[in-house]
Amino acid sequence: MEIILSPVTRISGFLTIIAEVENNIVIDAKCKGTMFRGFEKLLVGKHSLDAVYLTQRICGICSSAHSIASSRALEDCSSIEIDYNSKIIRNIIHGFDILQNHIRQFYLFSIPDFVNIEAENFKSRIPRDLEIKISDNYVKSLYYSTLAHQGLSIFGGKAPHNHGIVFGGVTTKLNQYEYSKAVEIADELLSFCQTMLEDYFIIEKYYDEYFNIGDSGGNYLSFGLFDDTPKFCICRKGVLINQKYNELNLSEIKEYEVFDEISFIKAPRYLNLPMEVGPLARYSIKNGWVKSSTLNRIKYRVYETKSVAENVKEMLKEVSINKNSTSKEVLDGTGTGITDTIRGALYHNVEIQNKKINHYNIITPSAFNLSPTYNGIKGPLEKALIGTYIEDTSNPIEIIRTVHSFDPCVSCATHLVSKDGVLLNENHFMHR
Amino acid sequence: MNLIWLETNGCSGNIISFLNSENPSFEFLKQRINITFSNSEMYPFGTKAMDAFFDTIEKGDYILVVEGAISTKDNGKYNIIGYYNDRYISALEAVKTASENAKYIISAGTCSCFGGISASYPNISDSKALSDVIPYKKIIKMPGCPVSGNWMASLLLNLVEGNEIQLDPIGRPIYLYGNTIHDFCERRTFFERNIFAKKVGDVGCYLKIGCVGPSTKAPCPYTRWNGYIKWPIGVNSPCIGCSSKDFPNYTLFKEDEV
Repeated sequence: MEIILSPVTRISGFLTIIAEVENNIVIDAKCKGTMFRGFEKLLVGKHSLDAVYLTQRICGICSSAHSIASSRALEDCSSIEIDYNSKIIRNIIHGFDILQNHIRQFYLFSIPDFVNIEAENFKSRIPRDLEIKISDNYVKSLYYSTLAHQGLSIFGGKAPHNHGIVFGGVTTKLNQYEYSKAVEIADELLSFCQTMLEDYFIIEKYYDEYFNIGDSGGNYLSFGLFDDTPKFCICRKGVLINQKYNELNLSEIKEYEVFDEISFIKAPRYLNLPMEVGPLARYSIKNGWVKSSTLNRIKYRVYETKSVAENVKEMLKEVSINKNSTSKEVLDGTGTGITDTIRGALYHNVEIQNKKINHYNIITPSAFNLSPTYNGIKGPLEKALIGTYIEDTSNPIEIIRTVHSFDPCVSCATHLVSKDGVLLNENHFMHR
Repeated sequence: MNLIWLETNGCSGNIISFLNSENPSFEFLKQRINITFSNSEMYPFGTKAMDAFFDTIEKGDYILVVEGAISTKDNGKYNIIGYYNDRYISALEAVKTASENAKYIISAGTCSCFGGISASYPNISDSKALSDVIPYKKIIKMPGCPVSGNWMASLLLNLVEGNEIQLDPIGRPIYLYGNTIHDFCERRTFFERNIFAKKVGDVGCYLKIGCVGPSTKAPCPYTRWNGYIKWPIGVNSPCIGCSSKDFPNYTLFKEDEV
């Protein structure tokens, strides 16, 4: 039988999962992102400096990541190296955004798959007193993800869609008044990470079969997180294929278009392989390969939250007071900006002519994770769903648990395909 | 009162902003407002989520919040929000249906109010502002990219308390959008003394490097943003007019004319 899950809720954007189920086991799965703006096209003709603010509007939950990738692409184009203070402030902004997302994702999006928060949505496994404790923290998490955005806003002016990150550095000049609030926020967030870990271990204890469910294939990719400030590096750039580490070679990334009636997710591949990206990929690349599974993805997202909180707290000590650096001299040419972010590897590529954007290409983490089947090879999330046992096909919560473990973001995932500088599916609609 | 928060073609940043609200807080509002449908926040998924959507409409007397622009190309095929009764439901169809029985209709964010980023040139998904799709309905417009969660939360609280909301001629609440950024800008004295910044990050008035504060109506200078500490001009960057009708169809960072 075919199960159509549409919408998959508790994510950003619109996701449809179509699962073919036989004898209560998923034997095939398709992943569809059902929204489309054509972001690359609307950037063409815009002033080059505007890309940093405009590309943030790709995504309402991870906007700061796009400002970093975009400014790096412009800086690459103009061969500018930003100063250490700007790198630290950008990483603090990014760090607070990661905390905002991971806290929100874990409690608001993922936890309700395992814990009955308000109503009995599925048969509870976790004892009621622990469910109540986690439900209390679910409510508290709203405060902490809001607080993380406050931390971001001290450096970025507002969130979502910050103003602090611009071409050539940051506009922000931190004064000691604001610094003192930022220190408190970082401290509070770090202490909440301990609560998050405790709640994660409760879920792990009662749902440990999810260590054997949700295998994406286990090939991992990272574009490096905070690796421009080596003291605070969360993960370096790199690739794990068949559990073996390789240096990242950007020219091995190819993206393919898959025509679909309602879906607009493209299929990026590395050495023609689908790659899983995100916290689990980062952990594996840094510390050695770990099996791809639903619970491992959640586990290493929670672990990473704590590492990022620790790093943000330490990075605050390195910010120069009253110092900023910006530039407005964008040169014509092409540039690439990459970074790992909340959901994984993010790529921006820009071509500038007469100070205007002539071409833009974006590959997002969710495009890697949610990519459709191409050439008979399943995307990571699709593959991870196959083999899942579903107890009640009218309430296939098992599928949702694995989908949420990838933290999908479809606002990010739907983009045009670029090949040799041409946006292939700009006439996407003609093909229908 | 029930509330449907419908995300359409956009970045879903307005619901994230709303979850950040502190004036009043999201938790406080949830005691008075029952969010029956929100793609980002609700527990039910698939058919049960769509049941919640249509049940709320059938009961009537709810608040409809729409964020994002509405893709109209090929009957809305470029933005599907769910699957119900053996067919896909487009955002276009969903807003038309949901607006029928709504007590209040709110456009949250610039895309929903005016088209914004999602409808900017060349607009290959033919995205439109909500008011262009349901032209005869009264819509409260809450522009901003995103709209501040605090502005949304305060509006919703006033609505459920039955307070009258005065709107300007294009539908924006006057208590929020009655003044320009320039009216209360903390850099106003620099403007008056003719001290203009030459590039972003500098001290001074940003008028000559692209600031559109004088033509942009929004309460940022006094409500500020997250946690009331900062706002864009507070971090030495110009107002880019993200709540204005023609955002982003102009150059944000202008060359220094000084």
